[in-house]
Amino acid sequence: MRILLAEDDEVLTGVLVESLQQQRYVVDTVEDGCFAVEYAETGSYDLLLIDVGLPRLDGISLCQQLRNAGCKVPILLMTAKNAPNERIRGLDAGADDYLTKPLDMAELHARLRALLRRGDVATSTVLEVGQLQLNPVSCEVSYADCPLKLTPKEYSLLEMFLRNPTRVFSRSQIVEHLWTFDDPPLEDSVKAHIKGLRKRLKTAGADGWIENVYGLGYKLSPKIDYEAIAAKKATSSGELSAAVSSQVPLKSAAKAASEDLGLEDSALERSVEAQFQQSMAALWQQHRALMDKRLALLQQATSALKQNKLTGELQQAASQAAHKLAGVLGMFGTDEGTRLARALETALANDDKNALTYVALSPLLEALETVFKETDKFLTRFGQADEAIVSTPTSSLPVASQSIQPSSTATTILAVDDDSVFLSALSPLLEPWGFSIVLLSDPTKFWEVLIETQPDLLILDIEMPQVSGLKLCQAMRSDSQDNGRWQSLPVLFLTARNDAAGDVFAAGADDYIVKPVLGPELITRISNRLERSRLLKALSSRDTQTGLVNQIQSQQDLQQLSDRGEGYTFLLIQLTNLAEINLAYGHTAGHQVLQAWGNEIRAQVLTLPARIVASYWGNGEFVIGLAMDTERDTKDAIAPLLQTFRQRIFTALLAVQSDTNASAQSGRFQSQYALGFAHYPTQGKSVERLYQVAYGAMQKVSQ
Amino acid sequence: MSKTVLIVDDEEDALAIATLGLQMKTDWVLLQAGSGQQALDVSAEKVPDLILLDMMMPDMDGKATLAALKANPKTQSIAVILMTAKQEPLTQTGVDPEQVVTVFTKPFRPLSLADEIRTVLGW
Repeated sequence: MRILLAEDDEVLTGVLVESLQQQRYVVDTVEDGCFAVEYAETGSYDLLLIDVGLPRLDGISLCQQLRNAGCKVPILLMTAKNAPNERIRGLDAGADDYLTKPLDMAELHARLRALLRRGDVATSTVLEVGQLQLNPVSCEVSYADCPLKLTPKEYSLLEMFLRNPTRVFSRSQIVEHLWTFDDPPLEDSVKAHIKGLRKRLKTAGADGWIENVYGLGYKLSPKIDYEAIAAKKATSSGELSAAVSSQVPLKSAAKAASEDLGLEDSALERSVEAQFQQSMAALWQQHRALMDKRLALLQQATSALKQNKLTGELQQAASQAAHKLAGVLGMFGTDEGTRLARALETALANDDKNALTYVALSPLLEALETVFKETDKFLTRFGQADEAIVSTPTSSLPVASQSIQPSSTATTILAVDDDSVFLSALSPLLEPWGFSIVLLSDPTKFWEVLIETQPDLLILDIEMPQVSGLKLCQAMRSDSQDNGRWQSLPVLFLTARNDAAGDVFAAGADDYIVKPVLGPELITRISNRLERSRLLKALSSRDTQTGLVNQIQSQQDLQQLSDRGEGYTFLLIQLTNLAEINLAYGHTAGHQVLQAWGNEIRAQVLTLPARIVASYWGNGEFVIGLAMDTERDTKDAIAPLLQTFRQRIFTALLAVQSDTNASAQSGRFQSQYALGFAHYPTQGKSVERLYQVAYGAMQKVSQ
Repeated sequence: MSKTVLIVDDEEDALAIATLGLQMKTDWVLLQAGSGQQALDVSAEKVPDLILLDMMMPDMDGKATLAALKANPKTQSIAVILMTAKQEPLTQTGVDPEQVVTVFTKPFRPLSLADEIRTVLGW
């Protein structure tokens, strides 16, 4: 890996070069900004390490100049202490991360690893669907290159849809995303904002992009004008597209394609999708051995590398295996797999022996192994569930028993009905909404399957030959084992009788539906039940601002982590300037910051391949328990999260009259944090003790 | 009349996925070839409307296959789309851009492959 270091302080340059070389980086140094531009443009660097205060051309202008010239190399800025505005300007200019002086070498290397892992940085952060573009930096929206004027709420709505292009948002979810707790709107006003947004999109030419999903909410439904895009591409980009346009009557092609799309019934599309998934599952099975062979080659090469025994032959074979995986994993729906395989390929194709290290390869390989497992789980579930219904329609369907693991993220529904034909009709109805369905046609196995699947919601038939659904429901409600966990499980009854209401509610059900069941009605009722039960659960164990578990709940969770008998790292992240933010920009801003941290922790930490507890203890303190043994592993694992927040610039929603702080007037600010680590069990056995150790060890990182 | 498409890839899984994707979305007649030589034989015999040609294959790679296709009067007018997992511009591979319709980068979305083909070829 080659690094360009631009720093005018000779002493610091010497220290940095030595430390970087120790880590096997190849380093070039320059002393001023103008030379830095020349070097960066001519040499091929993997990373630029730039001091802000350079002579001739300062570091921030340097960033700007490089990014404008299309340079995508990651840039790490070194800034002075206590210069938040400098940092914000640097990030705006296109830097990827910053470090404050005096430099902590361990921290520097952790940041370098994180940035280098990521490879080329996208020069733009623009969200783009078809001809619709939203630039989160400048808050500008355009359609077909024409700027669109939106109100702040309309803008936030659109951003939310673009960031979650396939998700359906209910009105209450929209409220949760876009409004603060202090200032909740009426649900009707969501409707008004949606209407406003639709109108503006329509005026710009994007008609019908926000779809009303009956009984559920809204989702993005882009009507992409392929014709216009293709025409634009043909005129603007390089020789390849020129070749295309010369040979092909583009116009009619695009027209045919868009007509095709328009005609396709969305239900039909869904069934094609489902059918396709099934066939993909079969293909995955069929070619599993081949994939495993490729993965094995990579594993072999990595462990050979660890023992310093990697031969050129094996390296080349492994590089080829990575190449093949990159080509095929994405088609099985895992872009992440392709990205990882590509990174491995690049690493293995590098002839520079120093650059190829076990440390660089092994995290990639581990992540790739996880991708394999996930894909396995996802695709085999698809195949099996449907196969079972098709092949054994009359026998019992304890599909659950082998394949489905209880998962905290996917919503699992257990449906019990002796009529297996009816059951099999439920899957295609509910699966498109992201529910995972477990079907059971033999009610005598009810308890077994219930405990195994731990569903989030239960659908019961009232009348079944062996056991009555009402009895099952009553038994669940009066079962006080395991903290009475079945007492609060939402239960929906399905019944052919019209007069069942009394019995159903007496048995402890939450709702009931009269057969024949209509799709939209069923989905609406399920969502209502789930939302309500989540709300109740959340109130008791979750922090409402961050969406993470609260202190009380996390004590239990951490206890469980230590009960497993393995070590874990207790990590304390403290937002050090929360009080100042509240003071300068109002509590809305503080809430915005907490919410952002909560969201990112859920997205980046809870998804790590290890046992994790992530919680918010109040007063700006986040506590994370990670089942990783060393501080360094933990640091690497959370590096992307921390980086996100060093890059994140918040904008105060409300203009606060402030006479205390000059930078407050710009309304832009960052959250600052400090970190503390403690290891279980070596540094403490109780959660309280771990907290004390971590608090004591806290270092100010982003001051 | 329904179109005929020949898919050429030495990786049997990639071949199967591309075929599956097209099968689900079109009524095209789909032919398969597992090597460059096989591709030449099949295309000379059946003269498909389009050849989806993988770039990286052992023995006879995409570039060589393309050259052979263009050298044979029987097959030279067949449209060819290259498929490659490498993210490098066409110019660096030494392939004459005039000889191919476009390049698809792997991994492609199997279900959108048909639409992409329709778009570039005007089918």
